[in-house]
Amino acid sequence: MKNSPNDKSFFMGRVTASVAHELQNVLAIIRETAGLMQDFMMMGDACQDFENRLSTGLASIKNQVSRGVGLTQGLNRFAHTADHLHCPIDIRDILDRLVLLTERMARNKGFSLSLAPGASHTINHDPVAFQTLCFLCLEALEQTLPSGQALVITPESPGKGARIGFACPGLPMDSAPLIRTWPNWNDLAEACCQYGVELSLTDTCPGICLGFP
Amino acid sequence: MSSNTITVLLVDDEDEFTSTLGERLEIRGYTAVTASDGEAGIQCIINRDIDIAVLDLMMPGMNGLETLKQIKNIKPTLPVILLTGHGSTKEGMEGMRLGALDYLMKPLDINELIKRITQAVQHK
Repeated sequence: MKNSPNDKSFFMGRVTASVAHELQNVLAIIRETAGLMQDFMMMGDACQDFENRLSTGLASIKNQVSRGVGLTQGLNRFAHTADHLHCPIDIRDILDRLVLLTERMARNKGFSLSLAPGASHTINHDPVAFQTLCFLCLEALEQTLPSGQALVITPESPGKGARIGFACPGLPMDSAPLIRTWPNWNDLAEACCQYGVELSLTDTCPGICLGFP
Repeated sequence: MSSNTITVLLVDDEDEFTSTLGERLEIRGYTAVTASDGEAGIQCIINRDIDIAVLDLMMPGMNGLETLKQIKNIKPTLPVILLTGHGSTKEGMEGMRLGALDYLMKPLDINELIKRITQAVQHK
């Protein structure tokens, strides 16, 4: 029996698997770069411009290590969001991390993913449920709207609670009805209901808005 | 067929990976051609004399399995080796069912890749 897409453990697994895959890419580049540097050393005098090539290889390894460290730190903090069922959530911090960890999944579906600038604020909610619902909104857009778009997450603080918009500003509004055709739309609506979150479509460009209490 | 007459197409959206692996293959006498996505890989197969393709399974746009299907439509005899960063072998097995010769896990061992390339081109 397969888990429902709105299940929190299913979401944690999806994100973890994707990041693990990206880390394999980081390691693959480090391995090939180290191997190439070894090849240059074996070539001896036949290797032209040895010092420059060595220096380029070292810089590449350093970059990949930074990329890997960013991913593992993000993954570690993501894993610890499951420590509490209900706690204060720094909206900007948690969304920033969600973008870092799911950016590749979005790119694979032909979307770029970013978080709109703005001030941070805190709400009290279930952090894993918060991320699961945000992730489902991103999936709904990536699977129903034409690809090649910029997908922007916009958090707003309407006094109490938070409104999080997920939208493709580059698309005309006539694409908006496609979103409700997403096969898991009813699951998303049900999960929102379960966590007391208001679900609606955005009205300025095709997208979804979540209203957290 | 000696290594210096074999042209290997490397398709992966991780450009640094394909360029470095390509350079290592060239040091070993192969000709390496690189592409960043499935569509560009298909164009290389149409326009260049490719002996073997090495495809990453997870790519933006057309993924590895979709690219494999198109390659098999265009050039059914072209040997294809799949690369996977997944811990499981499920997608690699699915690729072999669709006509891939073999699959390797990332990070890969270049000697293992060369062994598979040699075997594949000999059987061609």
